[in-house]
Amino acid sequence: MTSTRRDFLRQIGCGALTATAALTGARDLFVMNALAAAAGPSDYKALVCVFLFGGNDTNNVVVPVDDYASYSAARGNLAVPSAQLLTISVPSAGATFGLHPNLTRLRALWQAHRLAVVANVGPLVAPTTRTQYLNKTVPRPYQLFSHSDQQAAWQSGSATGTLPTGWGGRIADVIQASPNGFPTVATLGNLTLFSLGTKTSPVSVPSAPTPLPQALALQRSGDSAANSAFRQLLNQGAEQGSPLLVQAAADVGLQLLANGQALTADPPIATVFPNTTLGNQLKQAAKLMALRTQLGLTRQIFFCSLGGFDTHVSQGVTSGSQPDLLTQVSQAIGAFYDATVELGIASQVTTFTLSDFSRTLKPAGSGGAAGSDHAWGAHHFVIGDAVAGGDFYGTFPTLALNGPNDSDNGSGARGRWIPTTAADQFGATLALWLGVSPTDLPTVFPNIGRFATPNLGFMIS
Amino acid sequence: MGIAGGRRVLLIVTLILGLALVPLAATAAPTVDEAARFLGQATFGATPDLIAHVQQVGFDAFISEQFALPSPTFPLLDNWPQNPPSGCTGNCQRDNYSMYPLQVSAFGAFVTSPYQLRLRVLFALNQIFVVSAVDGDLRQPSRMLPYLQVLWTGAFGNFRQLLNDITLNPAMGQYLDTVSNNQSAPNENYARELLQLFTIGLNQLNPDGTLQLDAAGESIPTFDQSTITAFARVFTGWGFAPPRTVGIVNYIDPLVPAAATAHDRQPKTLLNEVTLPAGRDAPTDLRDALDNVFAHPNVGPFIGRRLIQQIVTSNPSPAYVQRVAAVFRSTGGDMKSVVRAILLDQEARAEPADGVYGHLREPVLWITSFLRPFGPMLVTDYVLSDSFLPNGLQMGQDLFRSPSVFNFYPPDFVVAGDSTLGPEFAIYSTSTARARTNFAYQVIYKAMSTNANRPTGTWIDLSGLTSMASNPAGLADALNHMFLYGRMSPATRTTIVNSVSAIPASNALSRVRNAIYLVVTSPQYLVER
Repeated sequence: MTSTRRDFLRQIGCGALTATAALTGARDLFVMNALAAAAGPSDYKALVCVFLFGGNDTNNVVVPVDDYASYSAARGNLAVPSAQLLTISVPSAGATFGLHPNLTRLRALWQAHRLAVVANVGPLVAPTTRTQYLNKTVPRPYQLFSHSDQQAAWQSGSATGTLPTGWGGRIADVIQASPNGFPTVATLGNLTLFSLGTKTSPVSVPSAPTPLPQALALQRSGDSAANSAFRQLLNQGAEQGSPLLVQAAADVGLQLLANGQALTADPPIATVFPNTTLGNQLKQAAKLMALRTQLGLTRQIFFCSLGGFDTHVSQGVTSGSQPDLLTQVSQAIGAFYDATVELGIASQVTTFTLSDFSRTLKPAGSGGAAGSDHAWGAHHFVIGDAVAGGDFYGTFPTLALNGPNDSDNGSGARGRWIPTTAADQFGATLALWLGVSPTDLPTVFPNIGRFATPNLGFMIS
Repeated sequence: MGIAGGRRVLLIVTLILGLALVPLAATAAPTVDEAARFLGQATFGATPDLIAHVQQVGFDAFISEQFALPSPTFPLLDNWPQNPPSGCTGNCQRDNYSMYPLQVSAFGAFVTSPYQLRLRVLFALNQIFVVSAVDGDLRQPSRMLPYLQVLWTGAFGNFRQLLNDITLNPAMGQYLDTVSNNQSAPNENYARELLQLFTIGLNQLNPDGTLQLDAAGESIPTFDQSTITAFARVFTGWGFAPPRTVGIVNYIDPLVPAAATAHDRQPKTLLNEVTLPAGRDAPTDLRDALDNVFAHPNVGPFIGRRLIQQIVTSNPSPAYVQRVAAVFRSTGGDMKSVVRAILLDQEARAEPADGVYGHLREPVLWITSFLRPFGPMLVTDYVLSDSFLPNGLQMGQDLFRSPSVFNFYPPDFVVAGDSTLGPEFAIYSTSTARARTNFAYQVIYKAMSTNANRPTGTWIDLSGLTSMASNPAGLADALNHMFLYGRMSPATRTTIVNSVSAIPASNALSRVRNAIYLVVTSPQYLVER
């Protein structure tokens, strides 16, 4: 942050008080500090999570062009033809790689240094070598290879399987960037662990094209007497003496009323979004960003998602299941980046992908029916003008079955990469950029101290 | 509505009014409230008729009656080709390549069928053993129906048989990729989810469903990747049965062994170090592997707990789980005995002992239990699932179209800010709360839009109940017994009575509508206890 403390105080409306503080001494200054802390940051930043449900096979998202032979030998029917890869030159690796041919928008963002790849990242309890993994001398993440548990590991920010909240929600807990009470975290779709905090609860908003003023509106809103009774019943349900589950249901209803009231305008977005599941979610996220001042939000966190990545069979190589999904991801994220440029916040918004896990390098099935099974470490994208893009962070794995990165052992090994970078580090780098203090970081990522650095360096500021 | 319908309305009025007036008999017979509560668990919602019937015969006899209903021939449809034939557009496509007809039929059955308990168990099983039409190969009703037939039979059948039947059902075979599983490169999809989601779960359980812990206090996994690899090899070598019609894939008859070379004949080490010897065919391996799974001590507590969560409460006590699991094991997985044990358990029947008892009514159950009491007053085309409801009413449970094999919501979803489980809360957000509230409004105030797919919409003709409007307190009391099992809090009752009384008595229909709207959208009703 570049603003001075004076700017900061003025921006949060405490300018008049500073003079008083000077006159009345330290005690009032202390109060002022407390107020400033409670009001949260004054600039604007946002994180946008795009979760690819089912386990995106990133073996076909980022391919080593210089070592194509080892890739294609193990990939067999699933290998993307080298001629079709969208080549990218990777400075830190001193090598050429290729993105999947359908990722044209993302490749353009790479070339503009707006997109970085974090290689072979995944849930870890602590740094783990292959020997340690096979000998079980380092604890393994809770329930590897299980969809639900690996989603939970990524979203909760802990590989030990013990957290009932997510790192998006916990960032909102510690940042306190919603003085008006509108949630910092918005989810476009169902509630997910990522979005749940200890003190904060996300707003869930239907996707575009639903206009924001209708997104949480009740149709009986003209009937004030009935509305008042409806609200009273929610208040009664939320009372302490009420059964806990009834309280929980009442809380959602009360939040609906409160959040719905705040969504009074539908800001125009000129950028054309693809009319897809992810495109419509990201378009609605862009609108909520355009509304940030009215909502009183200096920080926003979004959870968007796309399903269908569990491609055990008939995965497709350049067309079909996964390729079609990758097209959707590339086009939607590309449009969303354009919208942040339109809104003048491209350097204040960082978008990133997450997924359950990557998939086995060695396919299941054969021919056009070939697919892949649940694996572990994956490559993920980070996008935005604050990203030190056009490079890899972390170490690309050796694509060898039963090789130095494989958690599988022996002749049946299928290539499930042991991550060389922890999901905790990936998230912590983003959390630090958003403004989580190093002091608060262990609240958000309780195991971060087990890893060499909490900051992978892929954010410029 | 015809004359017969009009007479029925009078009957309903009498019953609803009567419920509030009849003093509770000091006999062993269930009270109105006890009967209504039981029916909330055993059916898709209480009705005046069923309340009276359960009061007359009791819980146990009602269950026996439901078990004894003769099972009709389950309706199946001829399979359709993979893609719509030329000319099959519009209604043809809707009726043969979307879940529309099954969603409509299912809601129709949930609301009106006499086979309430069987369907309620089917609905529970459908959310444990998920096959979803989100898979583009399963969008045909003709492919999904045989799977529902398996669950219909299994609901009152035997669990071990059910395991066999779901495993070899073609829709499941397609959904979790058994049909393309070849020994040359097995896929692990069915192997993993069979163990993780359908039978034993991820961790070793005590007989009461709590986690076994090792010396370090850590949970103990039931299997590792090598077990999954072995089960993946078990399920190799199956394919669709020969077509009933040339060129159309057979989704009606169970899977059959494919070419002998497609099955892995090497030895396989399964659960508890049981090894299947080399050289055996696909059916033999499958039989012994399912026996291996069924013999695992986790199955009773795992399945018992999941069924209890679907039917009674999100947070059952370990003792409740243990009692149900014991019945599961002692009867060899007899589903009727398990269902009876769940419903007659003291924890299902006694008044809730704590605030974490019960469960959020999921969208399907909230809709059906809200509509069923109105019986003949209900005007509906049964288009009540997300896909075809008006925009903005999507509640997150598009029947037969779960987002993944993990169902619409996870069984271990923690209610925000607490360690209490509330699975259904995973799909209860500001967005879906708005959808529910507006659905109630549209149904009660006759505001739902109609179109060709939704010819009448859904609404309740409340004109027959306007006589209740002159007595707001009586109206509140009737609704209390019908929907809240007599547990409406005094504050809530006051709020409703005041709100109704504020509407001029001359506007009787508005009064009735307002009262019902407030009750069915209240948090007390959203959570079934």
